Amino acid sequence: MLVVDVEVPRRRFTVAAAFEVPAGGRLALHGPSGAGKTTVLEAVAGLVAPSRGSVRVGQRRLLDTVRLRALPPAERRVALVRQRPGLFPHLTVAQNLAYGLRPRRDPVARDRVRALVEAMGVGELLGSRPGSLSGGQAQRVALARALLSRHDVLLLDEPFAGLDAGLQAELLELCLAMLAGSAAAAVLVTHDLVAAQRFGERIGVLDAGRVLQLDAPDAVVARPASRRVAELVGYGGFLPDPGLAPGAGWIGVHPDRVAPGASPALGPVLTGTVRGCHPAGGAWTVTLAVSPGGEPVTCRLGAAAAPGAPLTVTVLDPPRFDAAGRARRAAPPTPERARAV
Amino acid sequence: MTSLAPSPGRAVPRPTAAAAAVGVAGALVVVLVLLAPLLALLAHLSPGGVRAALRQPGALDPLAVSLGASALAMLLIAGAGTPVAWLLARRRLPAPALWETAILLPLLMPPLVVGLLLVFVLGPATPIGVALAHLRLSATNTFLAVVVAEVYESAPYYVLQAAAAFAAVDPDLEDAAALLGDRAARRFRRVTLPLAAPGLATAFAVSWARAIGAFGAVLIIAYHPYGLPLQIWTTLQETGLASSLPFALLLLAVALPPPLAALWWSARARRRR
Amino acid sequence: MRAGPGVASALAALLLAACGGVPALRSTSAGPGTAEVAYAGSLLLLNERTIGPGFERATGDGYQGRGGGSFGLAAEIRSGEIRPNVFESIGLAPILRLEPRFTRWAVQVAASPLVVAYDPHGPYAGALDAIRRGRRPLADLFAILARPGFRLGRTNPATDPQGQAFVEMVRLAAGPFHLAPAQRAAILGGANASQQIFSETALEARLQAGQLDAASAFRSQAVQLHLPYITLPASIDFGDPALAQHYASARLRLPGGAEVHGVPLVMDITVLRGADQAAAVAFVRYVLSAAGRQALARAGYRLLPPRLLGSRAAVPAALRHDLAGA
Repeated sequence: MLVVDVEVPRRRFTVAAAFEVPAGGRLALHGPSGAGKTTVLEAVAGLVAPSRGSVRVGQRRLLDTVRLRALPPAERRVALVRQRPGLFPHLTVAQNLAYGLRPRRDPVARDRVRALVEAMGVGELLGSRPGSLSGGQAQRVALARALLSRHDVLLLDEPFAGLDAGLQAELLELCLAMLAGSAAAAVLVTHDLVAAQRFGERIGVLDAGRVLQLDAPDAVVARPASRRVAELVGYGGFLPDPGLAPGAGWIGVHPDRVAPGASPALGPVLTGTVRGCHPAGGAWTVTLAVSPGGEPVTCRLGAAAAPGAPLTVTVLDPPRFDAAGRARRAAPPTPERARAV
Repeated sequence: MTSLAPSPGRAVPRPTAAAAAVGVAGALVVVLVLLAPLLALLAHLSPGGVRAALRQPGALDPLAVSLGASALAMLLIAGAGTPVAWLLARRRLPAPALWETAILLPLLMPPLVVGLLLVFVLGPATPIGVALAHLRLSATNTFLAVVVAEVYESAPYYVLQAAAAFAAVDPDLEDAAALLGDRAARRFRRVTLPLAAPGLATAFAVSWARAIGAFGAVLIIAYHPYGLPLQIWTTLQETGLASSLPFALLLLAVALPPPLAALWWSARARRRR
Repeated sequence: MRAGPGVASALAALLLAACGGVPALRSTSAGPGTAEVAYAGSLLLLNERTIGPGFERATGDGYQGRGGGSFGLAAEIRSGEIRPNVFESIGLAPILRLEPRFTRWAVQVAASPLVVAYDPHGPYAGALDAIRRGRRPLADLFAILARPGFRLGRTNPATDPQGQAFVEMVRLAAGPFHLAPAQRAAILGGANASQQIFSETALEARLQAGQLDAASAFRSQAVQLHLPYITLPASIDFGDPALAQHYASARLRLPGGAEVHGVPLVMDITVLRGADQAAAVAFVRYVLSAAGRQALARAGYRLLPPRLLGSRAAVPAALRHDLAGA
């Protein structure tokens, strides 16, 4: 079990994060750029010094500012893969992979290397220098190197962000496959919500150095703890709550949680005028001006809509917020409704 | 000869043969101007004259002094300067700009001035001079004085260039090595040093050339024992240019190859990455 | 410092120039030229600060100076590396090396006697002060110089006439001051002689920095550096051309194998064949003029009656008149 509770002062705000990841468990930290995600990982790895807090893995204390204890990175048994693969350019791929092996010439370790190299498909690269690898290959090697090192914690800091979408997905699946059966606590930092949901057993939503919500992958979207969380997980518009006095509360509209037509049993029904419509992958992104007042909302629909035409949609079980932006549980969805979503 | 007008479909015209020839000729002129003193030296020397000059009794003593003092100076410079350069490069020192300026200062001061000021620091009546005397040492007209003067003239070149070499090593790589289980000394040896090596070699080479050719400060605090630069100077004063040229050749022969080899090696190492 | 005579001579020079006195120093009416003067290093301050600017004001000609060891300069002139048209040497020997290609004559201008300058704050300052004032016999000087731990500085006999003169002075002093060979060796540093030999620049700097107790010096240097100094008798200070034969009895073998002997430390000046002869002649005439001699005297030189050495026929006509009595 990785237990983290740290405060790291930064120029604009203090990053204050607390979370736990069970051994073999996976946490994804999701948030916008500059939210402090990387800082949290660096505090765990020992690359930045928190002003206060503790990090421990099981009974091993990596950091405890009260007891003035801070293990150097070399003794933390924390593996880190970053967006830039950080391979040693003067060493071959094989030497990079073997870098963290202790002891160096252990036959068991050699078998582990061979198995992992096979599984990760980097066999033919062993003799190459990092400079000649493609981005995807380099990231595979970096991941393999981290997995081969002695670690209780695996930290992944936007490891695939520089790659094209298909390769990102492929490497994420590979990563998950490699982690299956591992006893390490894994933390992925990403601004890609879909990747975070695929990876994390739980997701922490981070903004301005704070963990706003720590929840199940579907829950952060279905029940965002605040309007800010809703914005961060993709809610595209907020409308006055039809069940309340104007200005007393809001409902959030997520583009993916809107159905065409009127189905009052599933949620509030909106009628408005199509402002714009453009293709988004296999679907269409439609901008809808809802009269009266309120900002326009976007929704993803299976069919195109002509601009200027009236359109009626149902917002599926929207989250509700009070005037201050806090989530309201005033009208909890019935179990039937929830299942329908 | 093709026209200089851009060919259709190509925004930037490739250099024509004529332009390329002009470029090569221009570069050749620059190189020749820079090498002219060296060529003049070779033109004014006869193998017999050099042999005769170098066979005189004691003629090779200055060579031994120069090599010995420069080797010792470089040992001191590399030993003490490398850690300082790393601290500078990694901004581990408070007020880094101040440290850099302090290290730069001996380089900015004329060597003659450095020598004169060293008299105030190391002269026999100064506290350091008195302390040295207790150890039966002196930094006035001794081998030690040659070494000290050479250190002052060449150390800044090494430290500042070594700092640049270390700064060019991605700190993420050092972090990566740390997280793969290497403590500071080990990751310095396995990652930082190999990656900075080409830059360090260049720094060492330039510094070596400065050390073995050091004259201004040496002239003031170490008139004896003669190294090659002072031998050239006194021979020039004693008997004129002609008889000092063989020593000039000797100085170039020992001062140039190590830096040239280091530069060549570092260029190759950089290319291989 | 007395400022009077300097200002007066400058004013006189200006007046001379204003009254059409320029042609007085120049023999031809061609446009202004440049006196390119190669001079013994000990003349640096005097030439660059006083004589050079004074000459330029007085004649309208340009002045360009270059200091160095007299023998080194002679070697550079012979090999054609430098082409000055005036040469001021300490001692005649460097000029003789340029004969007959560059010149066949020289004029003796002033003597630059050897003295012992000392650190006024050093541990021996009291005793040396007493010797300078004549309260203690000069023999005590040699006793002090020979003491172990006494920090004496001198220049390199291999390259510098002053360095040679100091060694020769100690030899000449042996008789009158009853110096035993061991004492002479002790003065000159014995086996560690190289410890007391410095470049000229370093020697002055060290003495001023208080890192030497005493050093050999020309009287002119001691005066210009405001250092107290002990005057030596003419019989051993190389300042009297009349004693040339006596000085020559002190002999010294150099590391290179050559043997040198004591010579009067006299500043000799000559014109070298080359460009701008008119400017060169004008410079020599300026040095020999009242203004030039006054500057020399103030800088610590011992003035000598101008005396022509070498071929009178080779002297440029404009100068021959000035040197009629020499």
